[in-house]
Amino acid sequence: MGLIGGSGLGLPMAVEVDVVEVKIDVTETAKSAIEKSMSDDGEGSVLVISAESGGCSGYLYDMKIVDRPDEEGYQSISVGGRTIMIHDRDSDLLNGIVLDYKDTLMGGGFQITNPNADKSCGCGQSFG
Amino acid sequence: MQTNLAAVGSRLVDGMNIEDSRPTTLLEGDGIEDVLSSISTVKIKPYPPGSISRAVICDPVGRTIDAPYVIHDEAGLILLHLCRGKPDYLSAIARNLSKKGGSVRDASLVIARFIQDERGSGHSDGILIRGIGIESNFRIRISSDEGGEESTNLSLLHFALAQGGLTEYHLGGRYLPHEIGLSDFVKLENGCYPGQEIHARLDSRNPVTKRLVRIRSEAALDMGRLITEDGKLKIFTPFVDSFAHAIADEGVLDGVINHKGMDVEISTIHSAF
Repeated sequence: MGLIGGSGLGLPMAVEVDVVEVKIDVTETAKSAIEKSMSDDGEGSVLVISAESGGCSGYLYDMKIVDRPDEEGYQSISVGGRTIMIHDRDSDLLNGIVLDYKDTLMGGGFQITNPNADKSCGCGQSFG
Repeated sequence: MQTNLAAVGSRLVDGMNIEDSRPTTLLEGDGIEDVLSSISTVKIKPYPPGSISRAVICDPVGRTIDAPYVIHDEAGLILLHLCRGKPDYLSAIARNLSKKGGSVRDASLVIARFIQDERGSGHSDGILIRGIGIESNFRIRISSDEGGEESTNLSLLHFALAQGGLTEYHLGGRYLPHEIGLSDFVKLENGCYPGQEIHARLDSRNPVTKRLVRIRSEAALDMGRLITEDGKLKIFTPFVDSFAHAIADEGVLDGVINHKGMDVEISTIHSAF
């Protein structure tokens, strides 16, 4: 028997999120990198970009190649022949981002510039 | 006439049963340990129900916001916050968990928190957190049974200042965890968390030499700096009865110093609860 039985618990904490229609810019180098990264994946695979809690500044970018999610609440953006998906819950945080790819010896890889970020950490993975 | 400091201390251990009204939160859903770990200075592992661990949450410049005890329950993770109000970081957790069907709920009404004298209690229900306080004489008892508790008049603030506990004066983004007795909970191997860059820099370049101390004196001293022969003390809590907390320089040693004809006892708080 757990400590909390259930009665008297507060309602789930309301997360006030403005769901917006997400628009993102993907540079040509990023498009090529996405195509290269997903070349072995089938047509049902998509790239999901999300903002998770954590990182040095409060939120952390996450990018995953997964099978197209079944759940509702995702927005699809077509980029070249591939699909990028962003959850409605992240739409206000990720709207307007610029997705770039840099091929350098230090700090290479996908990089996100986010106009919604007040601050970001040195490695570029986190924002707040 | 000078107050007998030992007698002041002994008054505290008689019949303690202090109600702790700080908020309590339940995190529900898959991956809750990972979500909490992502913002904590220390990794929260998926321990079995009934286990207790602790998180420390900092702002992006590494200052402490909260240091909740974490109770692993069948229902999820129960956070016993040390801050007075619901902390803002719960919004980020709620946003994350809601994408996976989880939630963040207020558990304050179903969890009663008390601090009790270890020797004086016959209660056995609920979950106990043992080993708190300077001499480990006290425990935190939490229970879903809300009835039948009689609290003493002693305030939580008084108890915390006397026994090495954290209060709103220590939190709110004012101090590094190292400065307020939480060094043991800063684990850089947990990876990227708010404030980690600052903590990593401190670890590699300028280790924190300041420490949290309890001070006890027969009369209240002003908050602010107190300069001793060996270094500086920054008193940052008000005196409640005879006790306050301060941050001491490396040069300030534990013991009794004389300040303007008054005895002031200084003792390090090694692990703040």
